[in-house]
Amino acid sequence: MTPPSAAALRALGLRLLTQLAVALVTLLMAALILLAIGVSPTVAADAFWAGTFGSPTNAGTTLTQAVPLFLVALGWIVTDKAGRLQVGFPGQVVIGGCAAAAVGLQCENVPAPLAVMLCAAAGMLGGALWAGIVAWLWASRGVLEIVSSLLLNLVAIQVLAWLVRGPLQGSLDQQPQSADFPESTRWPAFPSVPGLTLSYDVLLMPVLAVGLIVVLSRTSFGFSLRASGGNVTAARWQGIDPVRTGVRAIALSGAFAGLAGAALLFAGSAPWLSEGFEAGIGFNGIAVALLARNSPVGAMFTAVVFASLNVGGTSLQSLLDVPSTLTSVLQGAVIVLVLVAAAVAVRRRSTTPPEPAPAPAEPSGRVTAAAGQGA
Amino acid sequence: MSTTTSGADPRAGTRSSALRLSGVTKRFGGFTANDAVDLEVGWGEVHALLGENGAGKTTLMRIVTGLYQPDEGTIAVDGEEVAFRRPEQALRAGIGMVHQHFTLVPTLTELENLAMGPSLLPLRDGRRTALERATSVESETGLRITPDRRVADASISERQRLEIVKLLCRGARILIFDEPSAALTPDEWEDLARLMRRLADDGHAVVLISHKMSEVFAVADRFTVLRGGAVAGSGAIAETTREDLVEQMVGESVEIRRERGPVQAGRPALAVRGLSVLRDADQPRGPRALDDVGLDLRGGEILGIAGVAGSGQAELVETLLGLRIPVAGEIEVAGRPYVDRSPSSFYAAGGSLVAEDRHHVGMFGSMTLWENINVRALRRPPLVRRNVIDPAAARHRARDLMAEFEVRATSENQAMGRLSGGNQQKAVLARELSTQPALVVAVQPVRGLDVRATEFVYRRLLDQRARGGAVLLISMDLDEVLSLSDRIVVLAHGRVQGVLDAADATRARIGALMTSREAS
Repeated sequence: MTPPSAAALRALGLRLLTQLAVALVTLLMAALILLAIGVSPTVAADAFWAGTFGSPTNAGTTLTQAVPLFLVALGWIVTDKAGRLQVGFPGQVVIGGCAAAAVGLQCENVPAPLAVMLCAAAGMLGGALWAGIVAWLWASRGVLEIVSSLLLNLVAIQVLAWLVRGPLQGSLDQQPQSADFPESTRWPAFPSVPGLTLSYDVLLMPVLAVGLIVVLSRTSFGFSLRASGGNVTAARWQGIDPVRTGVRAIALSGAFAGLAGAALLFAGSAPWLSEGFEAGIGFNGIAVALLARNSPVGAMFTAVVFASLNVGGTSLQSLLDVPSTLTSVLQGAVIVLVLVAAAVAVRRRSTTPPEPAPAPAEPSGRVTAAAGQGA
Repeated sequence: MSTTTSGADPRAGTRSSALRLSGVTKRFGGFTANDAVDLEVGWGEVHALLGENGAGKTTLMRIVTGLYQPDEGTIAVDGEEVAFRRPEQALRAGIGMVHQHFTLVPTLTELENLAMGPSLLPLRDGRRTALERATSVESETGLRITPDRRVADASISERQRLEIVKLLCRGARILIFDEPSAALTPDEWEDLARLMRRLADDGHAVVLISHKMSEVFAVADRFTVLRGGAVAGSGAIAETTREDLVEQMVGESVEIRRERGPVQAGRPALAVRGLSVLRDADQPRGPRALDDVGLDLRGGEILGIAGVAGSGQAELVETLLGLRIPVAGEIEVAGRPYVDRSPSSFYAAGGSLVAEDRHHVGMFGSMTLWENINVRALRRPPLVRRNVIDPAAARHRARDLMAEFEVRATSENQAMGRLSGGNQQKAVLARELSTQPALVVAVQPVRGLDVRATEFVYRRLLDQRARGGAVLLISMDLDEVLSLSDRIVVLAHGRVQGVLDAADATRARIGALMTSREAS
């Protein structure tokens, strides 16, 4: 490996500095809002810290909650690299979770490791198949993937509502939820953490982050994927099939989201399928990826940040009676600030010397093309 | 320069000038697209603007219509000096252009398209006024529109007519037609020619951009020829001949033929027979981009394809890559039938392509140089085994090729988009020539390159020939075709107009074939 150049280091430094600035402004906004509702920011900060990382139990909860967010973020990163705009993560999380729950409920007498594996696989398959509808519509009918994936989210929510009232309904008091999952399907947790809040699936974060980087940079699939995302026409002219690549990318992305659905159910604190188990993970996962600038490693950290906002918001509500919507406000603020920072960065880049433009040797060389642009 | 202007034409004095350009110069960086161009168009006149591709016609008309601002020189409309900063200002001054690609909204009706336009109150429904204007235009010129028909349902010539009506409704009195016959059938062209004459007789000024001699002689009163951005001649059509005009267009430059060994024709590299391709795949009865084209190319040979842009070159390349389905014809690559056509099978058959539009189809700007050089090598052994890439080997191969093809970059990890145009093209050549292809299709391979890089590209193409490979050189630059080719096929309007041996090809002969009467 060649050492990174000074320019690359400076860019990295600038990026970290931006993230720091975003964090500071967010904190400032939080402080102002807290002051406005009459809560001392320092007391709130104490409560926030206690709720998120103050005790091993709470830290375990925070990290475990970061995993589904991170998985969805990986799904976004895959489709983004392939140049596809797929936003059907809520639906894929839901369907992946339903598939995993359907399998898990049948796993009463299956030994634990196998049952866990089966549930995870079912989740991935469910998410991939749901995303497969999007991929099929795009590849065969040319339906824009952003539209179909967005609309399928609504369908998925209705499917879930039907399942928990119909085929998978299993609670004794006729609530719209399934029976409790068998013990053998629950994902194991670190025994050293009191309350068993830290699931082993946090190990998925570094493993999958590195795995995805390797797949993207070291396999011919990853190469085709990036080539199609980089310049779809050039990819086609070079003999890469961008449609096949796009379909695979969308399915893989759905598999990540489906796994997130399984993780929500089998590593969470509520071991049954219910309406609303998705809890906004699908769209927040996109924000996690964007905040990490589509870097799988960065997404590990931004996922933890988002999870801690969630968990901390809950503890603020219970301890200080601060509305938990504060969390949504702050998450929204983070997204807007990141976008602003990105816009500023783009403007900066366009004022510094741009890439060498193609020499305008023949401005009128291609009359056909030129006239079209002039119109 | 323009020694034959106005004075030669007795009518020039009586007609007042509609549009007068004096000393208009436009530069793009170091490149001069228009060099002190003088042009005068009178009211009631059809003025033909002629020139090869790259001669500066489009740039000049973009200046006239306010899309570009000239660096030097003045423009006067109806005797008054003007300086357009925006296209709307040119339109307000009465200058309208009928583009090759129409500026209509296909999903709206013809009337709604007419009603669209810059207005002070965006809320007002302009349809009624538009209909009134269209009616008055019809009574003046006989141009009838079908108000309630969607533009998408109209034919090409009907759309063109609507475009003209639109300009007239907006008060255009100087009408510029940019190669209007490109998409028309001969009958439709006849109608359009009559219309141009009628507009001129009604007192409008008409500028016709074309390189078809028959059209120019059929409708134009006067002409101006551009060559290399400057005026090569102008005068009255009645006082000139076809041969004269062709010579003014292509010039008589000294031909620099490259030294090289005699052709050692090897194995067949490319054979095309009876290839016909539609211009628009959705219009099976529409015009053909390629009509019964045949080519024969053997190893150790460079076959040049000369022709103005739009003669079917792009369609030929896309058909070879399998991106266009021909209506008839057979292709053989490297001596074997090439039936199942796709980009990957083209490369597998021994073909390679230096595409014209490098940025759009030939490279990945955001990816590294080594990835770009190895795009196809990264999809088979030895760089890929069991779908796993060997980056060290790929980088090594890229470094070797960068040295061989003199690609200058900080390292093989540099993003392709950060390289200069010449180095990008060298990297593309490295990718395309490194596989020892039986056939290289090179389209405008030196477009936008400086002298040194151009020389390098030519040398590499001649190397390919020397080692027994074949080169299909498609170019709109006659000098390039003349200096490199062993044989030259002249393509015009999708047909092969002639095949010349390099020894007896001259600019004049090729130029005459290029602009010879259209295939009927």
